[in-house]
Amino acid sequence: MADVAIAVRTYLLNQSAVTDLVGTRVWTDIIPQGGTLPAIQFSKLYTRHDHTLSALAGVAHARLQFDCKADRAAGGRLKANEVAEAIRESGIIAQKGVVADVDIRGARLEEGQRNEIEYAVDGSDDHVYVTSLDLEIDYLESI
Amino acid sequence: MALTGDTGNGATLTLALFSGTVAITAALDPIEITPGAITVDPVDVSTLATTGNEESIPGDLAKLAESSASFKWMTAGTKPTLPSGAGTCTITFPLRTGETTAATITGTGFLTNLTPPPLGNGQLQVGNVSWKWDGDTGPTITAAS
Repeated sequence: MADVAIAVRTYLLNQSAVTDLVGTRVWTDIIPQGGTLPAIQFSKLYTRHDHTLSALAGVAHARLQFDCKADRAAGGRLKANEVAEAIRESGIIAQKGVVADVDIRGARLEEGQRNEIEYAVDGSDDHVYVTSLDLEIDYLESI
Repeated sequence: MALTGDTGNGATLTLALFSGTVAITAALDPIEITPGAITVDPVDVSTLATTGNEESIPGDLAKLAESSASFKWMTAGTKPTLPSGAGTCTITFPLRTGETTAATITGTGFLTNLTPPPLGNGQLQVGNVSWKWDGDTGPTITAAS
């Protein structure tokens, strides 16, 4: 079954501005242990469905959170910001049409850049800098 | 005691209209249906001999307010044109457990409003339509069975 999160991942992996920074390291839900940074970890926060009185209306809206991660060796905060910016300027917000079998009807930047740090647990200062942003994607669903 | 009551999910709306000599049957995919109120004005029959409360009797004729519905707008298909001739309008209630025939409100009427949808980011395209029962036939509220 086509999934909007997978479709967005497919879209991003076709954008050189993104792959120049992270290669194919666009992970759903979690970056594998020991995974190379910088990388993008994203998850689906929720999905809203429009309804008519008889059924689903056929339009749904999914909110995706993108966490762009870079440790000091990978460029730290500046690199994490750069990856987030690449997502924002990838053209996803102007995307309208079928991607990986999902008909995307619109995309909006719902929450812009916000910064966090994942502190090293080994007592070192090799922290992971996380720059996050949220997109809400409108797409057609089967009814 | 058995639980009763229902929501609006499953209700349908059909507007069969005549535009000139052309019959247009529009089975809409509604999101919300708002039937208009059927009201009667009271007639004050108080006299100088009346004491205590004002006395009233019902007027002779019921007033029929406009009904309206919002619906998922489809870009395919011909939309009704206004002014339109009268036709039969039917609101069908959801069928409840144990019923075989759903309740309806039906009567003749004519369109008074057709509003195409606002177009905005992230918004389902929703149109609006209003109609006036013309009082020629109905409106009749028929119970479910």
